[in-house]
Amino acid sequence: MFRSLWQYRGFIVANVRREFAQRYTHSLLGGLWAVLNPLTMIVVYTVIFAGIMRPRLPGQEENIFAYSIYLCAGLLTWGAFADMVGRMQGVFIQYGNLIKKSSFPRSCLPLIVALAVLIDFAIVLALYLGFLLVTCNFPGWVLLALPAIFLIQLTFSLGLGLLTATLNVFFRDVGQFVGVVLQFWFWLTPIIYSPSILPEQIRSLLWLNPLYPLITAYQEIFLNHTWPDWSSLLGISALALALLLFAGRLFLKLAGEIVDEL
Amino acid sequence: MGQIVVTNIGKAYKRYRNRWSRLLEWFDPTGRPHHQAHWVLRGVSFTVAPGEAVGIIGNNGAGKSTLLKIITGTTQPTEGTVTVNGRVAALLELGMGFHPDFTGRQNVFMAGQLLGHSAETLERCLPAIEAFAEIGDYIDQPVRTYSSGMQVRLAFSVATAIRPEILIVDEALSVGDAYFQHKSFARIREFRDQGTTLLFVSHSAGAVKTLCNRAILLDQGIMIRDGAPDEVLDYYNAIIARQEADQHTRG
Repeated sequence: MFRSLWQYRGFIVANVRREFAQRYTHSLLGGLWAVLNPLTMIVVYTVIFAGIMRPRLPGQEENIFAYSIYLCAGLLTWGAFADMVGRMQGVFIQYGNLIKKSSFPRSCLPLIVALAVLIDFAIVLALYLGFLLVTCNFPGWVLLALPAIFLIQLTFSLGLGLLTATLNVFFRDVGQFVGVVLQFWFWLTPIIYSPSILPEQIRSLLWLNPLYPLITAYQEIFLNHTWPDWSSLLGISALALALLLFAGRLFLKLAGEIVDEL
Repeated sequence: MGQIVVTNIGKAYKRYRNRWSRLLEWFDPTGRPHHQAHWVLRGVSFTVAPGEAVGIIGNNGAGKSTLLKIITGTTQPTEGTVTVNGRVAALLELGMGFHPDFTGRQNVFMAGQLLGHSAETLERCLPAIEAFAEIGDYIDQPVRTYSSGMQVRLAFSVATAIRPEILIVDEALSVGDAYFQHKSFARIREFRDQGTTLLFVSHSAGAVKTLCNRAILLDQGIMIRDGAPDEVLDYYNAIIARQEADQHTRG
């Protein structure tokens, strides 16, 4: 499978570029929008929370940017997760015409979406790191933990995305369901609020949310500049790997039937 | 290189009574099927030797396109096996992989890479592709500004830029003007003469007779005749004549 993916690398790269360029083809500023959109988001949150509303995070009273940093650490990485699952879920339907009419490795398609989302995330992350640098909040060495944590997130979102994409071909309800679940999931994860504001009974349930340790790790790195608690990430790592293996096997088993259902 | 061996292939689509049946089937612990198999092709076997040119004929719904899709690997057979030796170029639907907002040049690369060519190969073939398509300056315009004939010409040029070992053609050529039809036929004939195996679906008896040295007749998913084009076409015409007569007496 990997050899055929390599053979089709040109097709993959061309489509990643297309996914990216398609959004901006008819605009004058073109690819600049890919930078302007996330930039506005970071600026708006900073201005509103650091300049106007000034919420205080426990233990970070002296840093006026604390809440903005906390918010962006969770929001941007959540964005990459939701984007990946949300876009991958419909990938076989989106490329349905191509699947029905031509013969190429179907596994190219989830890869195209994953790469396109990664590019978007890379832009956002670069802007965020720039913001941290400018406000003298750059995390330093602990940033080395970021790729490891993002790799876990990537495995998890690829597994979930591939699973829902495959099932969605046979039961279109899955795609709708993913949208609903992501809405709830966002609010059930401490991204815009701190877990410390939750009542004790609810906080003790947070471990059920597989994204909780990941988002916490990001917040630790970016806000507290501390290494994440690696032992808290063992569960999600195992889950992510198991999910990706299961989704991969299901996809390989049903790949032949997908074309008949589109 | 260029051999196709089709052994007893069949294709069935699953028909479910309602939308819930599939869910039931997936989770039924007894493993009992909850669908009916609808066969569109069954028990088809033949071997195409390298360099042979085979025409596939039959009415609409006879299973011709399904057969070609199985041979190209687009869809999988429910039973039986297909062995294909050599690089296949399929003209099933011209313009597949084209994107309207991108220029002709960009689309040449995207469609070409979908066929498994590398960017370097396409770069090398680009002048030839441009020349054969005869679209001039339009190569740098978005494909949405093309006429349908121009799109087909460019797509055909990309698909046949490099001589394949096996060429599969499905009625795609009926579009385009007479001049380009003639030109594309000439290219197909040239490939055949250079040793490319040809699999050709057409409703045009003339095209099958001139291009092919063998014909296969499909009817309702079953192969009913395999032989010299003249003989098979005569048989096919006889069936059509009888069907028409039946219609007439019934009407």
